[in-house]
Amino acid sequence: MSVWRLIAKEIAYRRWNFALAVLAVAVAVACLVGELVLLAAHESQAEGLADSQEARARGRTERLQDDYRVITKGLGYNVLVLPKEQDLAEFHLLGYATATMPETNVARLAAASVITVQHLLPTLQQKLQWPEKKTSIMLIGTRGEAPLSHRDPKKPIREAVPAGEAVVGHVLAQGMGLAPGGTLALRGRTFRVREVRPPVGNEDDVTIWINLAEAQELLGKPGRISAILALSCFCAEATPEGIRREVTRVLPDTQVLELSAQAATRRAARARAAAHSAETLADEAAGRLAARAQRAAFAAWMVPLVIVACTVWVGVLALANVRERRDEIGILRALGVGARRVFSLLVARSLLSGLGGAAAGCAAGYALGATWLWRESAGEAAALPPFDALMAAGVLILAPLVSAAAALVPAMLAAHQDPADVLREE
Amino acid sequence: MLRIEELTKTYRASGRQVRALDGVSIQVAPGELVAVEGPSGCGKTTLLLVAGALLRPDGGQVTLAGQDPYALAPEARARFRAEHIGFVFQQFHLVPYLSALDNILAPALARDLPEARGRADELVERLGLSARRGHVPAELSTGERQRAALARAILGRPPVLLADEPTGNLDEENGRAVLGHLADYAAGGAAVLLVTHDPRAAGYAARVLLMEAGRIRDGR
Ligand SMILES: Nc1ncnc2c1ncn2[C@@H]1O[C@H](COP(=O)(O)OP(=O)(O)O)[C@@H](O)[C@H]1O
Ligand SMILES: [Mg+2]
Repeated sequence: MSVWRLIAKEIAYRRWNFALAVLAVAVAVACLVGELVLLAAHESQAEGLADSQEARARGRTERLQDDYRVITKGLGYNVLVLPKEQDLAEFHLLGYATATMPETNVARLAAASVITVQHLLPTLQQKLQWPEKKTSIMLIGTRGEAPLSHRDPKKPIREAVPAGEAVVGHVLAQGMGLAPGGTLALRGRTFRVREVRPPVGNEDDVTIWINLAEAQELLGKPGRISAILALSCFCAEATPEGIRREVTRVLPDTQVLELSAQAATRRAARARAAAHSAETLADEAAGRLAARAQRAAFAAWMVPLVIVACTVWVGVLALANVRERRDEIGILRALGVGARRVFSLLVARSLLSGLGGAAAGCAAGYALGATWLWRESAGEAAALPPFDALMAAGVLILAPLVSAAAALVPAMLAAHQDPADVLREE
Repeated sequence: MLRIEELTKTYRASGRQVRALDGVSIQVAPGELVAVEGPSGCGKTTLLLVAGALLRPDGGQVTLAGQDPYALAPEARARFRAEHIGFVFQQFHLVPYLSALDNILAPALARDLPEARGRADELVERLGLSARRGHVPAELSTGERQRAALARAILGRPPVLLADEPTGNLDEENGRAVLGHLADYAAGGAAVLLVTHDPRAAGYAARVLLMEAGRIRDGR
């Protein structure tokens, strides 16, 4: 007869008490392990998730910025290159430059590898009387896009008007009864009407576009132009100052006017897109953090509560057990089994139930944690938590100790109960 | 050898005092079976518990194998009990989940008994429990239970055996059998003290003492 045989026989005899004690420990351990597994899994997931989320957000930002770029592409960043001696007040009053500069400026600008300028459109422009029709018109000689030798040939911004033809603004065409295919006479020259522009509501409606060389002849200004329209492509460093600097470096005898705020608009749009993405990302991160903090806070009081409740439960079961064993303990004491022996016998029993509960609870906790993760990640491949041997070992050591501690008081009471009290009963 | 001298023991419960032992002196020599007879409530069980080193008396002296067990610390006293005293009770007090054989072997929990198993087998045989050795108490008759309890008490061959109304719950035949075994054990050299109100005990005892209200009134 060994103590272990006695313990084993007693456990088999009072299996329900023992099973309940095992269950109590298992519940507490499962709760703890499950929560630890979830927290650990979320910890490791959070990093991976943050990375992939950031990458997704960055991708979205780039797509958004690309969309904005495509949408605002047609706007261009426009500057007007004027002769240096042009009086700007007069230019603004008239709407065009009266001073002229050599047409060779266009070639110089094109050849200068001015990186921020992509399209160059030389024009000769002048308001003049149309003697044949007794009206004022705007005459623009245009050559279309100047070739940029170092760039891929692009579609010209405006199609050049071939010699002998004219493009007519809407109001003019209406007033004069002009239609495509017809002819018009201007200062003794005859032009075939190539196209009538749709109405746009500005001076373009009273403009006639003809070939630059013919305009130079007509206006008596051979080899001269009044302005170069430079359409630059956008880039982060391209500022009005940058473009002005580039152009005046190549063409010292010119001045540069910024024609529109379109570039600024585009930059603002792109900045807005980036800000939007950053906000989305920050929101998502904040939400995730809040959820995690909430779960951690919940676990912080829930898990200890369950552990305390289960410890009390184990203590109550131990008390019930020793009360049931009053008689048996009394006779063992009478037979000369010391109080210390009885005490350790009872504590060992609780240690065993704790060990059984810890093992069952560990397995159940992992299973629960894994199931939870699997349900949480519905559809996506669930990242199963790695088996944490250190934690399992800790639980397998600590849970039996806590279980044994819960049985300390009942075991103490039982061991020091007076055997005479039991044996006197008839 | 068991010697008790001038034992007194008073119970105090809820303001009421009961003088259970009032100057009891008894000597039991090795090889002797002494029976103490008396009515219920006269203090027999108290006498046995005090003699068995389980209940400290208020006054008087217990000497067992030349030693006063109450001079020992609790753990040492438990060891002393394990080595020197066997108990048999009216209620048997068998461990409910242990087989008859395991119950008989229970003293081995308290002290090293190298030949316990062989001795247990021998006792099982001698006390007629061979067919019941693997049965738990609930599956045994009262006579078998008391014989198992007796076997447990004498497994370690204690020099002193104390029996508290061992026949109280037994029929005629089983009662006689148990009394016979007690007498046999005394004959083997032990001091056996038997407290009972069973008149049959007189037939097996070397001496019979009559007890009344905590006192030994008369010796026969
Ligand atoms: N714990 C106790 N508290 C108070 N009185 C007790 C206690 N135990 C026994 N008694 C009383 O002591 C007397 C002797 O009891 P006991 O030794 O059991 O007698 P017996 O065994 O002869 O029946 C009885 O009157 C009983 O009621
Ligand atoms: Mg009694």
